[in-house]
Amino acid sequence: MGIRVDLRGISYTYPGSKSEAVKNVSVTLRSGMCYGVTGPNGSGKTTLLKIISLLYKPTRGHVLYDVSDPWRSDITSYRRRVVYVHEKPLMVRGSVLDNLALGLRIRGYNGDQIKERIERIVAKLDLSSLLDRSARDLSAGQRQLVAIARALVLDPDVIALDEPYSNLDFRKRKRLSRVVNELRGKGKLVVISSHDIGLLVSLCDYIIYLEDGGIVLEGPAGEVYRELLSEH
Amino acid sequence: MEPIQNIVLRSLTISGTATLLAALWSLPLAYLLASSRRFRPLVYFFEALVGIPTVLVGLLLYLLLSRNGPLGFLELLYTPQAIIIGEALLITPLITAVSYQVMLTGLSYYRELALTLGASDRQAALLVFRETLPSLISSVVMGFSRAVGELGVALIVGGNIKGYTRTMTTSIALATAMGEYEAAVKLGLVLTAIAVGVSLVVRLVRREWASE
Ligand SMILES: Nc1ncnc2c1ncn2[C@@H]1O[C@H](COP(=O)(O)OP(=O)(O)OP(=O)(O)O)[C@@H](O)[C@H]1O
Ligand SMILES: [Mg+2]
Repeated sequence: MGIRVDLRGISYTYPGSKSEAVKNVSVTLRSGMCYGVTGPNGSGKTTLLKIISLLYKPTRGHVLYDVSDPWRSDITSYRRRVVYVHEKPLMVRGSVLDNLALGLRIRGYNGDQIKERIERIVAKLDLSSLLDRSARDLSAGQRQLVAIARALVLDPDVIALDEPYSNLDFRKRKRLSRVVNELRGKGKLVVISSHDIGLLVSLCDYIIYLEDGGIVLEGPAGEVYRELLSEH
Repeated sequence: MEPIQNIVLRSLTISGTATLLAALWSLPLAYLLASSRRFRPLVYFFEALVGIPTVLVGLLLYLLLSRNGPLGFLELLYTPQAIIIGEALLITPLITAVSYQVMLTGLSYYRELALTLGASDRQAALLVFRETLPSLISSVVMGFSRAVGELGVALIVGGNIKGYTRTMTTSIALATAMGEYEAAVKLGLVLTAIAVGVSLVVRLVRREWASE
């Protein structure tokens, strides 16, 4: 049985801000599916992804993981089922390898388990040449890929990627798309934000189009695409 | 004149102790300020006090510690302890304000990173601390530099007693007043060398850390 994430009328207001960055969003996300979130700059994509990933607590409405509200329960245990990869990811001091091991160490895995899990992901994302490099010296695209790998080694049920393609070259994009498809095939729930609607349509099952914090258009990828085309 | 190395050693001990003391409360305080927006007004207060004149701190502490003052019974006036307390208070706003900024950034970025990787609150705080440590050390060292180079507190509540509360800065003031310019310049150079040396060490530590 896969996971289901239910957003029920959620809104989010940043502390100290007057307006809502996300407004009254309701949508159900299911495992084995890829969701594409798109919309203009400042429309609330990042905020929405962070709510889904349990980083922000909605100021109104509820997030449900299956039938329970993580915010009313042990939030850390729910956070261990979901990862969020920042559009401009941070690296901690140390090598790429140290960074890849960070989440596993936090979860108390031992050295052998850490090594095994990292090896698998490194092969998939072709990162072996970077392992010993200082993580803070990486280029933007390399960082992004390392951050994605750092999240995927945790084998989460829910994966939220914020503009994961923005700095990747053509080859890396193809590689990432393959990985995303594989995750979906394994029954993971993937959420990707991007400005590239064409890419989302080709990769995802369902598209959510945000404007000003609210959903203005949503539906199966093909339908949303046709609708957007006919608008212009 | 007292041997110069005694004065230097005493100065370093007093200011070093004051710095450790100030760090002991300033760092947790900075963490508290950075962790909630409710405390924002306090931040402005500490930021405003960063440049507080050293003589003013000396004067206030003098009034507190003098025989008829509210804390007179402690009999701390004209002791090294009085200078330590005064310098610790003097650099508290500086260390607090600078490490507040460091922790604010650390909290908003590293805390979130830790949470995305499934950290508990305690683990997240630990990661924030680990990643901001070099900058926190710099802020503490800045405090030390201010403490070791200040005159007002040491003179007013220390009293420049030979062999007891005489520090580098009070010696310089005294030597200058007595026309012993050579001794004054010598101590001045030592003081400068300490300031430069400390900042070099900090640089090295940070670089070592960054490339680790
Ligand atoms: N830390 C913050 N404090 C206050 N307001 C914020 C903060 N972060 C974002 N906002 C506001 O929330 C709204 C949504 O921002 P968000 O980052 O979710 O947009 P986005 O769709 O991801 O934009 P982009 O395409 O530029 O990444 C914007 O109006 C933004 O100004
Ligand atoms: Mg964004």
